[in-house]
Amino acid sequence: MTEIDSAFLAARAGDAEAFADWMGRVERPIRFGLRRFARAVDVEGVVQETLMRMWLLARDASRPLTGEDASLRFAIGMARNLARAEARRLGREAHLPIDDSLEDPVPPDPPSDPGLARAIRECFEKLSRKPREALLARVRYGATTPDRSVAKLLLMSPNTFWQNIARARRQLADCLRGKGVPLEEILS
Amino acid sequence: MNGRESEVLEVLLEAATTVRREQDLAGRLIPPPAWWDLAPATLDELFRRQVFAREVERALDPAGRSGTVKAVMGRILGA
Repeated sequence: MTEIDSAFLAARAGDAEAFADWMGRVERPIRFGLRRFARAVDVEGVVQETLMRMWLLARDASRPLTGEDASLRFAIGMARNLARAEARRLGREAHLPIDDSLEDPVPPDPPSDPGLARAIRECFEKLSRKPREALLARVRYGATTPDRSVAKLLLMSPNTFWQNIARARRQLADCLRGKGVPLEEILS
Repeated sequence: MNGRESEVLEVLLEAATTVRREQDLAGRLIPPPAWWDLAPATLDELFRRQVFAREVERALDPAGRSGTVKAVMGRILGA
């Protein structure tokens, strides 16, 4: 049994923390499975909707999943179906991938890279003050609080907040490249 | 693209990188307002920025959770 299967099995018992662990393991492959849909749909929204539906499926004992990494394979298929349906609903079918058979194969997520996380943390400490404040606030509050409200907490206008996030991203990327982190590999 | 246009595009991309999603009356997640203002060709760049942003969130979060995981957990635990 893979670690993905173990985490999903624990989530089936209603353990939300185990489900969070499962999400951490499958989020990247689900997202990369939607790369070719990026022009047609809001990929972030489809990833979140997929994860929500997988939580409902995990709680439904009448719908077993079998086979290695079955939950991941099922979630990637569900995500692509949701993306196609959402593109049709939004009238953006013209931007859907032309040939589904060309969809990228998605390998299970590699274990999290402690070296990358450490490099990001080191580079984060080197950011200039305002970009650092903006990025940290978004990491802390951004999942549940609108950016406009986070900006207000920092006494910034929304535009200034987003400009600071952009500066933080550029400074982080430059620092990571300086450390020899293969950023292009991570993003593709 | 001139400097002003490029600055506007940067702001739109960063605004659309957020994980926060409103829901409509049917419970569907709504793309952030900035997403609608991005041309299809720039949405590939948004994808890359979202991937990078989620990596940064994982690295900086004490529990190693991305904003996506935290947003979904918020809905699960709040449901």
